[in-house]
Amino acid sequence: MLDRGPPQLPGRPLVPIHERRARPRVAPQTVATRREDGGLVDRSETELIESLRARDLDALGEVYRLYGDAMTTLARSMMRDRDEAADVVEQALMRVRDAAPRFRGERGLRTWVMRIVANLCRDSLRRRKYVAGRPDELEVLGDAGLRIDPVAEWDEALDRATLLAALERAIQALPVEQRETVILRDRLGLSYEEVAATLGISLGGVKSRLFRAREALKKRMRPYLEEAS
Amino acid sequence: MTERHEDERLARWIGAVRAEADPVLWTRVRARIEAGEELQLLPAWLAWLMRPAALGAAAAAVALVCGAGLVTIRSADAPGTSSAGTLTEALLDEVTGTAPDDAPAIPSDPSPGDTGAIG
Repeated sequence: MLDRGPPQLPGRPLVPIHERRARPRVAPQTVATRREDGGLVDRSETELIESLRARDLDALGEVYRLYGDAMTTLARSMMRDRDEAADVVEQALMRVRDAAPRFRGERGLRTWVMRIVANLCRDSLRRRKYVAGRPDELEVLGDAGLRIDPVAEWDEALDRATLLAALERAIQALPVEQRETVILRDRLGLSYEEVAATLGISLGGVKSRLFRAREALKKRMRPYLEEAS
Repeated sequence: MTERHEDERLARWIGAVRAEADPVLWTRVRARIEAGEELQLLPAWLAWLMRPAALGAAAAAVALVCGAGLVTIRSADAPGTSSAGTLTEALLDEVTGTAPDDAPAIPSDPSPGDTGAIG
C-alpha cells in the first residue's frame, strides 16, 4: 500500500501566523490591464497613472478591478451601511477620475485611492444624522455588506459567526480615527507606512492609534481571547 | 497568552472579514461618466437648457402660463359679465319669448281704471 503522507486539506495550505501578517490583502502595485485590442498586457503603475491622467475610462475600470475589493471593504467597514458605502465608492471613483491630472504619483496609486475613500467616509460620517442599525443587532456583518472570508484559516474552537459579529460591534464602537487605522492595517493588510500615507498622519500616529484601538478591542473581546487560548 | 499572541490573533480575526467589489457599481459609474461626456458634446445652449436649474425654470414658466390662462378663462365665464353668454342661450330666450333687454318694457301693474271689459 502506498504511503500518501498526511491528509491534504482542501483550500489553501496552512501558513504560519508570522507569515500571514506579511501577506498583502490588496493587489500589488504591478498591474495587468486590457488594451483596446482586448489582450491583457502587463504595465507599470506609472503607465496606469498616465492613462488615468488622459481620462481613459478603461484605466479607471482597471483601478476598480485592482482596488475595488479594498475600497468596498474599507467603505462598508466604516459606514456600516451597504448603500452609503456604495455611494462613497462611486464618489471616490469619480474623484479619482477628476483629480488624476493633478496626481503626481509620489505616494503610490493604491495609497492615493484608499486615501480618497477614507476621506469620503469621514465626510459622510460627519454629515450623518443617524446611527446605522442598532449596535447590538446580530446581523452586524450582513447589514454592512461584509462577509466572512471563506478561505481564512480558523483554528480556534469558537463559533466564527458569533465571534466575528462581536468583534465587528467592538470595531464599530471605536472612535473613527482608530477604526479606520485598524481596518487599513489589520483588515486590508496595509503596511504602517501605507496606513500613515493613506490617513495623512505620522508613523508614530499610526502606531499610537493602533495601540489604543487594540487595547480597546482586547478589552471587549477578552472572553473570546481567553476561550481561544 | 502573551500580548503579541493576542495582537496576532485579533488581527487575524479582523482580517477574516471582507467585502467584494460590486460589478454593478462600475457599470453605473461608467454610464454616469459617459452620459457626462455626451452632455459636453452638445451645443452650449442645449446643454444649458438641460441643466436641472433650467429645466426647473422652464417647468415653473409653463405652470405660470397655464395658471394665468385658467384665471383668464374663469373670469370670462363668470355670471353677470354678459347679457347672453352663448348663442344657444340667446336662441332659447327667443323661443321661450323672453323679451330681450332692449325690448320696450310692459307695465306689470296695469292702471286701476282699466278693467279689461269690452264695451
